[in-house]
Amino acid sequence: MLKHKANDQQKKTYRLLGLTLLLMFILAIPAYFWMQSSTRRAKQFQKSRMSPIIMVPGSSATKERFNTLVKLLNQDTKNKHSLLKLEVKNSGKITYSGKIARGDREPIIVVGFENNHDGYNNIKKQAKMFDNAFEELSEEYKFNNFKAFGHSNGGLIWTYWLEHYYTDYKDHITIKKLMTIGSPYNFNETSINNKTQMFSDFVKNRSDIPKDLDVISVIGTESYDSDGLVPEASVEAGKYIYQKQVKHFTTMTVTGEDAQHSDLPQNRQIVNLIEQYIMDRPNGKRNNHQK
Amino acid sequence: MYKRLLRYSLAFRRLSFIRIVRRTLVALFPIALIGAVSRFIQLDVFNENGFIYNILFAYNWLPDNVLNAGRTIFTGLTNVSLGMTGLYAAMIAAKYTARFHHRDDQMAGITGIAAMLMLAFRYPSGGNEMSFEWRLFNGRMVFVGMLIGYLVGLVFKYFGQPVKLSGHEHVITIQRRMFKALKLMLAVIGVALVINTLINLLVNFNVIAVAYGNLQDFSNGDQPAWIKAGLSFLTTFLEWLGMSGPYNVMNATSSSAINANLAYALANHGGHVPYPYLGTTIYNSFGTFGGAGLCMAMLIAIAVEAQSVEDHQLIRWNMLPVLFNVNYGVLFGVPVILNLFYFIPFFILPVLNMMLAVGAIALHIIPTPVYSVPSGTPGPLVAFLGTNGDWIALIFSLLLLVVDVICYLPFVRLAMQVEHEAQRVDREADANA
Repeated sequence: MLKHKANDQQKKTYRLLGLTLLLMFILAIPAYFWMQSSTRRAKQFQKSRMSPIIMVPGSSATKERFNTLVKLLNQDTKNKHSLLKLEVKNSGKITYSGKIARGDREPIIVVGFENNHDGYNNIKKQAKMFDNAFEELSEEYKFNNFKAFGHSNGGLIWTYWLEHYYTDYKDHITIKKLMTIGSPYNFNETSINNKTQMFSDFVKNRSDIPKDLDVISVIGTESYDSDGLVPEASVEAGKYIYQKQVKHFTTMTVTGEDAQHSDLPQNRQIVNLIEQYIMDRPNGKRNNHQK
Repeated sequence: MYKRLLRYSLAFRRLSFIRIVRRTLVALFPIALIGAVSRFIQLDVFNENGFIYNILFAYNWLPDNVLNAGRTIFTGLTNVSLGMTGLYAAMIAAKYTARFHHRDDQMAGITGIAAMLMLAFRYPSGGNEMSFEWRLFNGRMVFVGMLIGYLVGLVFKYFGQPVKLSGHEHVITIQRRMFKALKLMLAVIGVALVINTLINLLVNFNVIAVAYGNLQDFSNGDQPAWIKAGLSFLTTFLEWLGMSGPYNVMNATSSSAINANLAYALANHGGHVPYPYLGTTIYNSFGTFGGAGLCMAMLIAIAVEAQSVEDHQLIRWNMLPVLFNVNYGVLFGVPVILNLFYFIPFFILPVLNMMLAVGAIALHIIPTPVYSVPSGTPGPLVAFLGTNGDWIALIFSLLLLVVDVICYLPFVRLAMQVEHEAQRVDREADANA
């Protein structure tokens, strides 16, 4: 009787053991395909030689904001940069115009938003919309590094994105440079003593900004303390976010012709700065990190 | 020779501490099993790097808030089960030790918990919130809990008075017992308080943090396979003792050498990677079927040898977690912890596997696994996926598993014989009493 019971147990155990091993082999099938596709994807990222410059315009501006800038950049070089423009609609739909020429290793991609209003809440929304666009771009073009450029609030969107979204990509996509021009890190405050909510949040979350990034913040001035719209002190406040967190943080002040806030993207000096600090070298060598 | 071995191991099995350990582990098995299943779900399902999550392509259809909710729930469940095992262990060990010596087991159990909490208490750096060294309560440190419980029980043995246990108790009897135990309780808590102050001083001067840091730096490095083999001994020994600590010595899954291998494999098709015999990779791919100590092989060996209904139930309950490398149920239920017979294979077989794997790689039978696999991948599939689906690697892993099961068999048989013998002796003692 007891013997019989033990045999019964043994049978049950063997049956479950067999089922477990069978389950393992069944699981191996989707796992195999998952692994293959994940490796294929990793290989594509590894092989990709594209290193785009991704530009984000400020508030009240559209995806057409940098057309003049790109024209000026293309005047100086034989290798023309193609221009791809994305617009994220409020519905979440993303529309494309322009295209990336075949073989262009350093295309310029502009991401604009239907909702291009000012204010911290809108910047959060725009960062989320930007992230959707960035995800599509990275899946489509599989670049493993890129350079970031933001005018005015565009720089704030970049900062918010770096602090909240970049971790999802950092394993396979490196952000090499970030240039912001006239970005009001403390909105319209003229003193660092009046901290806006956004600025406090930026400082609080700064540890999520990648440590090997080069950041250049350009200030335009018409008077001695403002570019006509954004106070100099608000742009300078960026140092409390980036300094001692990223590898290099450089600030530059541009004055003279076209130093008014809205003219900054057409400013010849800034065009030169982009060529010098952001773009890859014309001989095909990458503009790598300064050692 | 065989008889003598049996006698010695029976003597070890009947040491009072070991007997207490056995009882405690058996009583803790449900907690360990709930924790193991919860941990499997936490690691495999609600985890962006999890095996099940990825092979179901859940990132395409599972909403992020469901993922986060699931992760929060199961992290909580794991923390209150596995994360608190040490606390339960202190209580149960104290209780059984006291009962074993006919002392007041209830009071001893409460004192055990109090002593454990007292020892783990950390002076808060500011504010008035309670702060504990949670790692001490973790299932991986269950040895500490059992030891403290045992010591508390011994205090009751030597300084307490015998208690006659009756089935039905009135308030007044409990009250009498309570007053008898009061002084002992105060004394134990007082001693714990003194030790706790000393530990807090050490924490204050960062001695412990620095020591942990150094060890961790060492274990995360890119050592060759033979050093890792040594570290594997250490890991399995501590795990066997029930004290594998807050970190896993073999945990590193990302290092410059691993990344170099990966980058090489991605850039070229095949060929020889720069670090073919990387210890961490070899250990994770071939030395951990079913968690540390190849618990999957052990479980299969027990399935072959098991006689009693209880053994069979134990195996069946553990199969799923062990498939996904969560071995707490086996460590507590079999039990492996402080079990003389499982010590040797638990210790040596992972190293044997690693050596065979290094040999197979050297002979170009299998490639080095370089790709990182999702967490909680079933042990025998790790090498298969890590080589991006090399069939020979899968067959090799399965062969290793068969070898491991065969090696486990004699130890399992011996362990069961001694257990059987111990139970017979106990029954005789009961009959004579």
